[in-house]
Amino acid sequence: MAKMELPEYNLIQLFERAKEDPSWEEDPVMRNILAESFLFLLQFAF
Amino acid sequence: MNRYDINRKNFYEATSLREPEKVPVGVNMYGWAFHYAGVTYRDIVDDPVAVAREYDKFFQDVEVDCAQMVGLPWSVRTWKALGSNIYDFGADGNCVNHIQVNDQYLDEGIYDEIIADANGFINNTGLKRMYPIFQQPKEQAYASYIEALKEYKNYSTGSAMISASLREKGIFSITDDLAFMYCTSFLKFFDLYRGIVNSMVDLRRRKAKVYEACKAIDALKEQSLMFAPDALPKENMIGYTVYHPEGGFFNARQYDDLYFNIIKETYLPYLENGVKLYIYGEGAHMYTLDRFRQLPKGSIILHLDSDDPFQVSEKIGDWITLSCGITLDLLAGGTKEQCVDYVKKCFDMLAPGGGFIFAPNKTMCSSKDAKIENVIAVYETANELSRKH
Repeated sequence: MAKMELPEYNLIQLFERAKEDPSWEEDPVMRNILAESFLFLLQFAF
Repeated sequence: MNRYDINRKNFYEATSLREPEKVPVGVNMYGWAFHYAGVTYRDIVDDPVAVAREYDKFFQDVEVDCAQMVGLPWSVRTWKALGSNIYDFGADGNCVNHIQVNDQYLDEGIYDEIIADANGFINNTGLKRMYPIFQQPKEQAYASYIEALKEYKNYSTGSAMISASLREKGIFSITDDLAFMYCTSFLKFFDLYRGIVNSMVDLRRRKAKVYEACKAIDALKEQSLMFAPDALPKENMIGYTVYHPEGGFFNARQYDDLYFNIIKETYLPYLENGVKLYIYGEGAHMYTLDRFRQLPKGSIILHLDSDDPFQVSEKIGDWITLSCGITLDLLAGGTKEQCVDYVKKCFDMLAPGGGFIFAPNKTMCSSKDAKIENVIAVYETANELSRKH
């Protein structure tokens, strides 16, 4: 694959922002996903 | 003692090379469970309650003691929301296929990027390259990410309900006692960044860089270990490997360099403190079996895929536990009698003295992976025989 121009923002900050989204305050499933499993899945972190 | 505790105890007895009261009868099952239930996963995928209810039907009908590879197939909807089309439902609507021709592999320059900043690549630039939504401007990427999370929540809710239901039935899942998970770091290149063909060529053409990049990823894994080997929260725990390149793509030297020596250097202290390494051994293992004698006796559980279990047992059965007992070839294409005969032979040859847990050699994914009548007969036989040893 040819090298691509990537946007400059840092994804880690974007993930942190999602964790702090007030929409999940009452949503333990989403909080757990954001805290643990989803990034692991994206990273293929075996 | 409740059923879960009994099943857990039997699992650790058998894998410590002692005869348990009942040989653990295990299962590896993804989408085939929906075939058994008479539904199509694709049709109910957006309803986690229905997904969990239908998946559960097999476990209501069939006695299972331990779960090795169970749960929902890969989340197609999440990957679509991430902008990727590498996963989709198979023709039967129950199996999820990895469509490798749709993979967009990364260039060989990633080895240098990872050597320079593995953490930055894995958490930022690598994700941007792998998932199209992260190539959008920031606010659009954020909105797409939230949509992907919502899809994953649906999947995760169904998965959690399945796990809870298995636990209620007293089924011991080996991931309940997870101490660590380690697959070769080369797996990232092999399965994700470069693909099988490119990454295996890289091992010849730019071996030093591949090795250095793997080392950089290994260092990150070491930093993120959940427990120190001498501070484990439970008396019995499990380390977990799924073989991908380890099970036949690596030559013996690559196997040592990129997998086995790392197990010895980093994870041996865990095994010396009682952790058992469960290896879901996709592929073939005969040429690497002798290595396991360098690890503590009774510390390895090897799930067999394509090797002959009787040959493996002859070679290393006194030292490790074998997870085997029926093949999907037989379950799909054999007669009921052939299946039952094979199960009987496995129990006769492998169960005495411990070191044997029963499980199908591959994970049942698609509807045609096994005939229902064969599966029923096999589990009836396995459960009957498991109490006689």
